[in-house]
Amino acid sequence: MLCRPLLALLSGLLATAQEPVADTFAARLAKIVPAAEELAWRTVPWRAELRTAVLEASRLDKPVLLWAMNGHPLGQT
Amino acid sequence: MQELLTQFVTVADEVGRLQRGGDAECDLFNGFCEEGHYGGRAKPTNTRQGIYAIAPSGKFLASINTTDADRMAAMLQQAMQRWRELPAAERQLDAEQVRRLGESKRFEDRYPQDGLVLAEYMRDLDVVGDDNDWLTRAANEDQAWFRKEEAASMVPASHDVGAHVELPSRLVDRLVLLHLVDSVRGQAPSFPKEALVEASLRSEVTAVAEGRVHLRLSGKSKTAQKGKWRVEDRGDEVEHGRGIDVQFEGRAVWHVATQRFEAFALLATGMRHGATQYNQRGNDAAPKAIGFAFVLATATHPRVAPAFWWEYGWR
Repeated sequence: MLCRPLLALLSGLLATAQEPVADTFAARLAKIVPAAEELAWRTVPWRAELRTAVLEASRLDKPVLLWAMNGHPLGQT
Repeated sequence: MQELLTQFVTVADEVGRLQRGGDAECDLFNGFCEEGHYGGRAKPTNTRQGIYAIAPSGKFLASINTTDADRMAAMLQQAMQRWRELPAAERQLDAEQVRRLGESKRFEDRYPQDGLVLAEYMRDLDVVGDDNDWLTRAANEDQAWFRKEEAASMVPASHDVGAHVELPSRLVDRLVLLHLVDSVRGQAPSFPKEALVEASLRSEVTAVAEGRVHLRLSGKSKTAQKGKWRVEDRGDEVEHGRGIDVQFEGRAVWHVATQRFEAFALLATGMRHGATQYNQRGNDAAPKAIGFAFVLATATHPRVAPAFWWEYGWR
């Protein structure tokens, strides 16, 4: 997941000699890309597929916690 | 809560495919979801979305559909109690289930490892409102996938500064119809081809240095659709219109030796109008500013299929 500190690095990589890092393009990008605090729920290690989670849980002898939504919770809901 | 969660293998997934699909993964889900909180329910919808605790075998432990932390914690504790009481023989997958799960297919199997994956984010721009209101802060995401040859087609054949190429219409149209959709507050359908008014995206070389081609992206797109559909959850279908009208601007860096993008950021900003059944625009359908951002997905970004993956036409 990309967050704003990484965006700063990204904008630096994307800047050309004619454009300073803090250009308006990077600022507009940062208005849309979520800030780290908006993504705190992703600190839980959510796997993205039921099949892989079940196989992993079987190996670890652990239960599975499935969050199932209309639209993938780690994508578009 | 965090401590409770460590006792589980945590997974998020899309419920519609799990409910309606026919492979081993979907069979597993359908084997336990009817024992959960929405078991047997047909109205107002037959969705089985929610949070389920199960044994790897598919044996149901507990479930709930809530955003309340206390109720969630109680469900997790109940699930762990049932897990501890479950005989070992009923916990694990059997060999046949393991084999069938291994053979199950998903669109994620087509993840373009050697192509281009863009994380997409969308939200309203120029919003004035209460920051504590979720409608003010609403945002959504998706991801746009491009195969290796599709990514390469975004780079002009000549690497001379000023060289440019119009991106293939099949890629631009796909981006516009499937990804420039107002799902900020909730999912909206993709646009049909007939809704495409215009779409263009140009890539131009701005610099070449150290084996890398720096590109500027520019263009515009407009969609407009009219028809009969519901805007609220229930009720009759009536005449509506919707559309997205945006300008593209972006930057990208192409690494010549590896034939990969090292950086990519594309903005599509402009106006949206209209509402659909689940996107919560019933009272906010007049033209307003909207923004979409596409940035290179990191290695740790979740590998989740694009929202409208079945419309990619990938075989």
